[in-house]
Amino acid sequence: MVGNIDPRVGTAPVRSPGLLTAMRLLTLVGLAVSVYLTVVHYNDVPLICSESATIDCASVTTSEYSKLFGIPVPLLGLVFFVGFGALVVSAAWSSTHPVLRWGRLAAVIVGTLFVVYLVTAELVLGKVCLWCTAVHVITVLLLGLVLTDEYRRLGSGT
Amino acid sequence: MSKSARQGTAREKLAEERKRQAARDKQRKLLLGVAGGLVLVSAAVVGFVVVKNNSGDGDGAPKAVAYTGPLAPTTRQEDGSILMSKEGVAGPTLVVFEDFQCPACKSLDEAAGDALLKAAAEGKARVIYRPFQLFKAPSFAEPLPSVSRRGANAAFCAPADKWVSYAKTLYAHQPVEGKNGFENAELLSWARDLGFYSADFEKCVTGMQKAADIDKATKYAEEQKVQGTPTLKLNGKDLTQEQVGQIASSPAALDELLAAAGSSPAPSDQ
Repeated sequence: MVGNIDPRVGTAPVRSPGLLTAMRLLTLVGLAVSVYLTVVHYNDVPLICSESATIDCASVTTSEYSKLFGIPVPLLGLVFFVGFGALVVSAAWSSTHPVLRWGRLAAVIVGTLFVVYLVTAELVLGKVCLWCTAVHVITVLLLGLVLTDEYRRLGSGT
Repeated sequence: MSKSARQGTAREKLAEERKRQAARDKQRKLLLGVAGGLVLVSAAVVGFVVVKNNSGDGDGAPKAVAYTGPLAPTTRQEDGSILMSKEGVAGPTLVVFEDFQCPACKSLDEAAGDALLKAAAEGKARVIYRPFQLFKAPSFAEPLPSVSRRGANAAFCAPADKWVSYAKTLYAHQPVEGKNGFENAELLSWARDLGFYSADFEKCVTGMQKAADIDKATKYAEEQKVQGTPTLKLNGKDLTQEQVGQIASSPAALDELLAAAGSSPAPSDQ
């Protein structure tokens, strides 16, 4: 009846390599975009308003919403992806420490709330920043993946 | 199978069922908790942004910004552009193509606007301001083109000696790109703040009387191959984005550029 549960651990091991790979890939892409946006933010060369720029014209990345408590938003994104990256390295992933599981869940929830804030700001400005949108999508996908993982872990009794 | 063994199996089954039930409960709590929390906090976040945005709009009547720094004699040229030149200065000539709705122009003005005025006042250069309408329909959706046009029109209507203060005021109150702004009431109120309001100015602003000048200035900018703003031309030659960046970060860079240009051949753009 209970033969499929490893007696040494006491619970069925959670195996979801696809999920983990997806999280790591998304984290890397998010990190790359955040680095790019942070570099652009700190670059001295002023962006130019162009005759053909119908989407951006830097109005999002230079708006009053581009900083939160004085910290540039791309930098916050960078910190998020570095932090989340640390939570999905092999050592952290295979650990059953509840702090790490809660940490992952908390990180993506806070990240998603940030996305809500930033998308609202974009709507208020009536402008969309494509690079930022990429980061938003990645963050929401990470929420989905972490939730799926947590759902499976709970289902297996851990 | 004995009775006790059957009872044992039933107990095990029951225990397992309870365990599964407990796991399902946890799963449900996870999903409900996360979804509920996200919805609640998201609503608060959205409310915060919307309220913050609206309070920004209802700032009362924003005041004009008066410029009191050094200034070269300022005249309006026939085509409506503004020339700042100390008497007897023949060159170099620095031309600034700008759109008051352009955030990058605002940034440049904040960073280097005063340095340009000072350079003109000290006779290091003749500086010409050429506002035009970069944001045109249908490439840009309303209200961007209208805001850009109203700003340019009012600047063309302002008297030359008040140009600097009025231009700085337009930048100071530049509407967020894509939002309405530069309303007639504001444009007139800033003229009152700066002490040059007149019935003629009001007619000029509300009647868009300088529309033809804007169109001419815009056509001229196009002829000069100006594709973005701010564009700076020194003796008729475009400054690169890097050079503009240097000017924005240090006034010394501007002096060096102007000194290097010196009294090069007479510029084609007067």
